[in-house]
Amino acid sequence: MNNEYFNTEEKEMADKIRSLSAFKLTDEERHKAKKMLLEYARMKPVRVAAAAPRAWFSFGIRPIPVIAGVMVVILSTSTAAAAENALPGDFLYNIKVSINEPVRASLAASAEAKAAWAIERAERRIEEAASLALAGELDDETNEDLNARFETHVKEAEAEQASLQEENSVAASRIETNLRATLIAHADVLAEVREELEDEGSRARIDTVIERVSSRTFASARKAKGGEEAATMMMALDVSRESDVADEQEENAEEARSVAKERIEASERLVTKNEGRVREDTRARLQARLTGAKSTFAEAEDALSRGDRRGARARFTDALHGAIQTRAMLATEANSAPKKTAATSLSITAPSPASVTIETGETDAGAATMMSVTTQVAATTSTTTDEKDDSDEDIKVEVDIRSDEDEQESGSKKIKIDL
Amino acid sequence: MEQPSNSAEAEKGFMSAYDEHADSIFRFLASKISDREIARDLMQETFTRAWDYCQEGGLIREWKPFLFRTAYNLVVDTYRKKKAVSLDAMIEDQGFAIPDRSDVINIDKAEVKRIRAAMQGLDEVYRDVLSLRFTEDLPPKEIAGILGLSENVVSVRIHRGLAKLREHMNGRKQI
Repeated sequence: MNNEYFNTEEKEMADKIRSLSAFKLTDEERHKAKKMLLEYARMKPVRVAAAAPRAWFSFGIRPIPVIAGVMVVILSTSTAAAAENALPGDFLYNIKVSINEPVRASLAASAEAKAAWAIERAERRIEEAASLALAGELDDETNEDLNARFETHVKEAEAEQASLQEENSVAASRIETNLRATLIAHADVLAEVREELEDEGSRARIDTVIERVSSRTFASARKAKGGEEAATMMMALDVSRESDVADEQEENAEEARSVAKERIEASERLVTKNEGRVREDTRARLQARLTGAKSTFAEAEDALSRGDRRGARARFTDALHGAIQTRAMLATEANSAPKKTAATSLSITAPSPASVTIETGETDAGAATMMSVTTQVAATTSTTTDEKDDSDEDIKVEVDIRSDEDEQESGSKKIKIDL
Repeated sequence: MEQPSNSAEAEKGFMSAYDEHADSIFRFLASKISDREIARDLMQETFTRAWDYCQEGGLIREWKPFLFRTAYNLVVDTYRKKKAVSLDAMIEDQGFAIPDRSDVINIDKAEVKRIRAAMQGLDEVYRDVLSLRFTEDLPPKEIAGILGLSENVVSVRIHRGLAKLREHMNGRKQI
């Protein structure tokens, strides 16, 4: 406001626009609507409980024992970081998919947030498959498991989207844009990953990943299998990409904008946070892709301000793809890089002083994963696991159970796990 | 004890927000949907949604931007699905009468119609920022929040919009 400057001609035009404020409801219209709103407000009085902050675990931590909920809050500061990067086969992978993720899902309040998180989980499964493939460790069983999980999460996102269709079609359309762009962008990155693979087995497996992602994007391409068909699929994707722009053109410029903005910011945060985990050249590539996405976004803004909604929409979608690709590249490369021995600690508040049991499971029909860690009180328990045959580092797990005066009052114990 | 007073207070705040902003919200909606009936319905809907938000425990500190944002989101839903009728139809056929008592500036009816027509002829991206900035007197920062744009883009659109509006008013067609 302070830095707004208008010349005389502009001021004159502004005054003319101001004169339009004389345009009003008639008294009758105003009173009628007021009466109706008053009735509406009385029919739905404000609840007292609703004014208080919602208890966060009163909604939706479905089958997970409360301890898991309590734990993850504590977990989130330290071990979450370690678990978040875990791949199938890693010690912490089950913590990631069976504790961290379901709890975060249950904390998402709105349907849109739930959908966004389901999309993120689907992305993670694709990225994990790609990371394992790059490391030459993607076996059929893991691939199947990741596939089932991917399907589940995509369906979750679609269900949330469907539930919003009626009441909030803008949000529903944002979810759709996000989901579709995510699938297309990941299919692109997978195709790049495929080029880097040398053995046939890995290629064949990554083809199945590409197929699963593409078939979700373009249902009719579902039948295709193997290398050549993967190419066909990519063509099908191109078609879907173009129709993406042509069909909805100007309609959804704003939706595409808000989704792109969100994803660019998220990718930016992710790149900043994980810069240290990737090689120099990868970092440069990530930065280049992100910068590209940002400048495309700026072009789109410009197109929008010129009133070119169709051009804006197309560029926002491009920027969105760029942002998702950045994220996918980062996750894939960072996770497939050799692991370093990281010192991380995990603190758990347990209800019983004698033993601690972390038990959780996903209740999604079929693929229930149970993880149970029981530790007896002891001064120090050490376990050493050889996670990978070809790796020269061991992952050392130390469980150190200490009791603090304060915590004893509430009958809880603190456990520290150093990784 | 607390509930009635809370509820009554909330209701009071809600009704005074209505008294204060109903016209602005209606005008904003009408500028986007050239149909008085629909604009009026959406104005009501804007307020019922705001109330729903309060009722579910939300706290609205600034009513004006909240209402405009809600109205904008609503209109995006409805407007996109419906082709707008022409401005002439709106003014002439549907009795979009301009009240005589213009308390803002002395501009005659014919001139107001001309301005309105010029505004209607503008691209939506400019029309929105201009009417929010000048007709509704919202600062660029709040407009940015309502439309989901950066403040900078809003400022640029205000200036470009004013220039375009002048072109329209002077009879030159925008390409």
